[in-house]
Amino acid sequence: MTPEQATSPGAAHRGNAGAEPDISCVDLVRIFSHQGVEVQALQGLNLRIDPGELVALVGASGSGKSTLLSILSSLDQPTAGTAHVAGFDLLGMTPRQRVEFRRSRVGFVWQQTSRNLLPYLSAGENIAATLAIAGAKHARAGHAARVETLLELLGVGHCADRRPGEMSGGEQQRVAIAVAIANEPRVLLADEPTGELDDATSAHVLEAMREVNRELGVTTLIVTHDPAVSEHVARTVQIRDGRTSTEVLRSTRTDEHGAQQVVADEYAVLDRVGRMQLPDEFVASLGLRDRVRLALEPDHVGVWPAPAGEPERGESK
Amino acid sequence: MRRWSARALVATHLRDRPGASLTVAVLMVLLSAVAVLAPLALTAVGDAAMRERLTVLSTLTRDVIASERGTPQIELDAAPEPEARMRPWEQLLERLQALREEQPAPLRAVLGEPRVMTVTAGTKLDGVGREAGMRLLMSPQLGERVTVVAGSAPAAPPAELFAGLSMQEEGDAPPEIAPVDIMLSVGSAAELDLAVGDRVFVAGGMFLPAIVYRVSGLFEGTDPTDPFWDHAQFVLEPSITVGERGPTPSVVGVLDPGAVGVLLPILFNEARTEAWFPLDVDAITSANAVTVLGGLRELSATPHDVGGGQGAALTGVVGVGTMHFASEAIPVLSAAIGEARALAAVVGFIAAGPFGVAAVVLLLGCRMLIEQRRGALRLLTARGASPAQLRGLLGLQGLLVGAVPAVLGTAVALALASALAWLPGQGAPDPGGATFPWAALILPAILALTPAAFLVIAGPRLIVAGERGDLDAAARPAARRLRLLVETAVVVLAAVATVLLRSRGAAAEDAAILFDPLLAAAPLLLALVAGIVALRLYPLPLRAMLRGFRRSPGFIGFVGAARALREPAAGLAPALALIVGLSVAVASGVLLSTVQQGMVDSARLQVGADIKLEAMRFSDEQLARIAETEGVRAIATIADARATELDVDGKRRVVSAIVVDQQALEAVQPSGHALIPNGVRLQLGAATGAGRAGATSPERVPVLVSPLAERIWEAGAQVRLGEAVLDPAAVIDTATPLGPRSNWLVLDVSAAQHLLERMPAPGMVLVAAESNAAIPALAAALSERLARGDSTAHVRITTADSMIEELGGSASIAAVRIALLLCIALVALLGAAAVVITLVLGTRARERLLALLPSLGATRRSGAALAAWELWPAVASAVVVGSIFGAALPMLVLAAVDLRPFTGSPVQPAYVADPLLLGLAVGGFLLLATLLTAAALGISRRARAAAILRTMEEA
Repeated sequence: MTPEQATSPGAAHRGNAGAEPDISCVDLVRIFSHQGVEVQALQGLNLRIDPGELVALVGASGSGKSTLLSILSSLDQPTAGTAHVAGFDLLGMTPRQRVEFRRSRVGFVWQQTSRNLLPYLSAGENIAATLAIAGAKHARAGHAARVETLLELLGVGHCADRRPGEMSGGEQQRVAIAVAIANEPRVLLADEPTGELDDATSAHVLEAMREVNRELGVTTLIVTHDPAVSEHVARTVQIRDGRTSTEVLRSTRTDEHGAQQVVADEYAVLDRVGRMQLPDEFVASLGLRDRVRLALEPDHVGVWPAPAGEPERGESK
Repeated sequence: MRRWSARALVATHLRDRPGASLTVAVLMVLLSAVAVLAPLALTAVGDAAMRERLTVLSTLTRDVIASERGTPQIELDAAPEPEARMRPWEQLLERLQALREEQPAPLRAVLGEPRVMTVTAGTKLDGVGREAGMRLLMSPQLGERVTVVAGSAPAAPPAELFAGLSMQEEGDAPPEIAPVDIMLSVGSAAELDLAVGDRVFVAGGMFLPAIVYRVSGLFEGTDPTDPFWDHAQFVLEPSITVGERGPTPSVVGVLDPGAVGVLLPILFNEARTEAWFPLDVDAITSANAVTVLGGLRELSATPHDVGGGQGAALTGVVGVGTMHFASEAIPVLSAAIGEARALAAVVGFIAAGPFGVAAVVLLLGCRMLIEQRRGALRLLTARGASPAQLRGLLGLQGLLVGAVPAVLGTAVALALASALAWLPGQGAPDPGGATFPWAALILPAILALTPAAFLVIAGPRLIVAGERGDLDAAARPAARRLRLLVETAVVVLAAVATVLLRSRGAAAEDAAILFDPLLAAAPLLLALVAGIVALRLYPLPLRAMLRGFRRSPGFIGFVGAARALREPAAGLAPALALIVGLSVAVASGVLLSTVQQGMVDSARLQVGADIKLEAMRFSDEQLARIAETEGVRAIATIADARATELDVDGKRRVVSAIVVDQQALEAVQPSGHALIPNGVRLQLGAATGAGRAGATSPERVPVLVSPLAERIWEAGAQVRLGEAVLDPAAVIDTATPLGPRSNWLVLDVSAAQHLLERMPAPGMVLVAAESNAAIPALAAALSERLARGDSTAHVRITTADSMIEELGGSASIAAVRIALLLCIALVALLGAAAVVITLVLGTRARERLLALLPSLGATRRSGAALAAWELWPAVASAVVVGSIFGAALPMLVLAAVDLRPFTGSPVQPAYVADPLLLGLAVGGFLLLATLLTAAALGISRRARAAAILRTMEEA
């Protein structure tokens, strides 16, 4: 499902498409039940992200994207289906595996600073704390060097001794990214990283994430409700009703005049057994309901609404 | 760099936001200090109370004394060798010393060295020119206590002094007996106008010729305050009896103790040998009192062999072979132990409540700590911290907040105890061996480790619990089942404890004095049960209110009730703490008022009227003077015919027959505190089933009896006094003005005149004053009037107030008062802490709500009402349930603890609830809760709406 991208970012670290994906969800289901009421947050979601990719996951609120991220970050357990992240099977992880997973395979950036950074530690101390948790074998001098490197990479070296309360929103998020990648994870998960920021700052932060993805080859998944984010990433996956519905892939093409053009192609996601979701406007404009007729053409599949007069589903003949 | 090392980071983590940590730490210091001081204080008070009761005893009443007829054992046939002269004394002392060695260690340490003396009965002394009497005394221990100031010590009389006596035959003239040396004290000699060398003599009797005594020397007591002289009475100064013929002195002549064998003929019939062990009451502490009492009882139970022993020949030996010891300290010690036990029971009972509440509040404080750290710890978990690292951080915080303050509190408490001399080993020497009170450190040690344990064990689970817990219902049924299980366990335990306590009654006598765990556990468990019941019941009215609010237009009541039902800020713990705390406070208040009222009632009954006067006897002239004193409305006299013999079915029984004038008594005693119950008439002619009308000879006479005396009538015996048959008209088991007598009956004077051989002189006068306000002045006036006359007899004046002061001034009652007040204060403080912590724990939820309300159109003011809604259901249920339960709890105490030592009454005090005291306890509690609600709202006023709305987290 991933078409060849000639000039997409991260190509340097992307192995061939046949390599193990860093994130792989197959028919992922998550049901919440409370006092007899069930909520299906994820209804058989499929997703595959290869190493080194930078992907945005877009969906309206209630679409299940926060749930997906909770599962992928091992803070929640799926009800059914499989999910693999960075080589770990998320279903049935032992606590020890979970600790290992969080320490060295995965990094998170949340929307609220209070979930990313300890408010009583400075930026440098936050990173050092993350390193200390992992029990990194670097000498103390090594710690300090790594902290400085990370801060410089994200462009917030001047914030090394400042507490989160003393930094701007953009600086906070960049420090959060630095903390997330401190232990050299394979995958970086971000939940609405630009949710609280204005457009200019958002652009800076996204640029920083692109930098990290480019330089360090960290597979990055950004979950957001803001469609504007998708302009900065090569691949955007849309979630609707607990399933991935469409993907948009951006590429730059040279047109006939030799000018660079960024082209976005939208695709519908097809799962293992051939199910797909039709976009809302298609369904609404043709009044598609209950049943549709399919026809196979040499180079496409046609979808027609059912003829009028046939009994509705649920009515008896 | 240094500041980025793991250790520095941990330190920064622990230092952040110290508010909650400081609260818990302060609580820990307080609790551990109290935990260490309380038992030490209790012991110290117990010791002080015991000493108070025992030091009042005079030497004669407290020493362990035996007095038997005869001299120390002497072998008759043995030739009196010079070296063997002191042998009888030596043998006696040896045996007594051996007896002392046999006693258990604590008693041995309290018993002093044995002392002995032999004293004759008084005889008339001739040759001094006036009426005089003399007794003879010899003691091996007297010589070292006197200084001979004139002449010399008495010489040993010759062995053949009475040799001529045995060869006497009838009709012979009585032989001349050589003079026997005695020495007299300077005071005695001065009284009789005798000097060294003078001779006095004692007339002969049937078996003895006249004996001449020569004053060989005069002596002075080296130390007149030596307790030896309390036993060897009237040696240093003669006794003077005032009779019809004027004052008659009686002196004591001291003989040479070695002459006991030679002087046997004089001593044989007339002498008594007294042996005693001085009792060192200062060495009796609450630690060894029970053992000492047991030992004393054993010692006085059977006679002890002090002679030659079982193997000695029965003939050829004369003198005291066995001695029977007794001490009047025994009942006093028993009463003192009872008092100490009651004190420990009451204080233990009271102290359990605050400690239960403290435990709950401590755990609440720990929860507050976890709440504060939750965000940071969740973040660290997400970053890969292992559970072990998490527990390590929590444990470290727990130790910092628990162990360090506990050590500090313990140190402060020990320093304070040392300064107040409460540590064992300080103050009076403890013969039981003073050891450091390691047991007192157990509780602080447990306290010290509790926060760390709680944080490490429950912390990780509580941190994770916040994550979308509302969506995952898997945990709910388990939690409900756990709650049910715990509640059932508590109810069962409480029932068992209560049943045990009631069936056991007041503690058995041989139980250890301190700390009865059952007595402390039962009320706490019952309070928990009350709390559980309240927590199950209080949602019911809330639901009804919720339904009502749903229909009404306002929203505050609805939101408040809904939150109280579905989102209790800190769970059930604060409500439980408040309920237990308030019930303990109310129970303590009721207990205090019960004891105080019991004391007042007992004092009034013991005084009997406005003023009570006691003396050996009151002459008619004195009575007239009393009656004439200004301010006296009426007087009544009470006389005691001691040792009145009753004929009980042919057997002789002895009681004290108290004679009163019913008419006069009723005029003097207030109706509530009368000795004679309503409707009982003791006067002659009023007897039920009396004989023929107009009969002058009384047949059946009604009397009042003490509970002990009532036993005489057991098994339907017929009791006669003189010609009449006595009928017990009523049993008086309350306190009476009759003092410590326990075996008495009360007759009216009309009956006594006919039945008693001799009317006794009144020893007690009850005085009714004209006005209550003038009582103290009247008492002073009476005291002055009576002192003006011939005052060899000492008159004791008691008023109700002075009696109350006497009873209430004792160390024990003061300790109970202080303990009760401290308990109430502590519980109120802890309740306030519980309220504050509840408010803090609910801060996040409340601030979210308060931020949301303005966007819905509500005013800021509703914030105060909503915060109040968080508190008042718990407070209201605490007040209702706590008051009811707290009022009922003292009934259990009255059934299980003997409070009589405090009130000085023979009967348990009745349950009394002073509304003022109760109002203070409950009102103070409520006031504090209100003030703290307002304070907490002031703190949480600044909630930035926008930020909070956007950063809504699932917590």
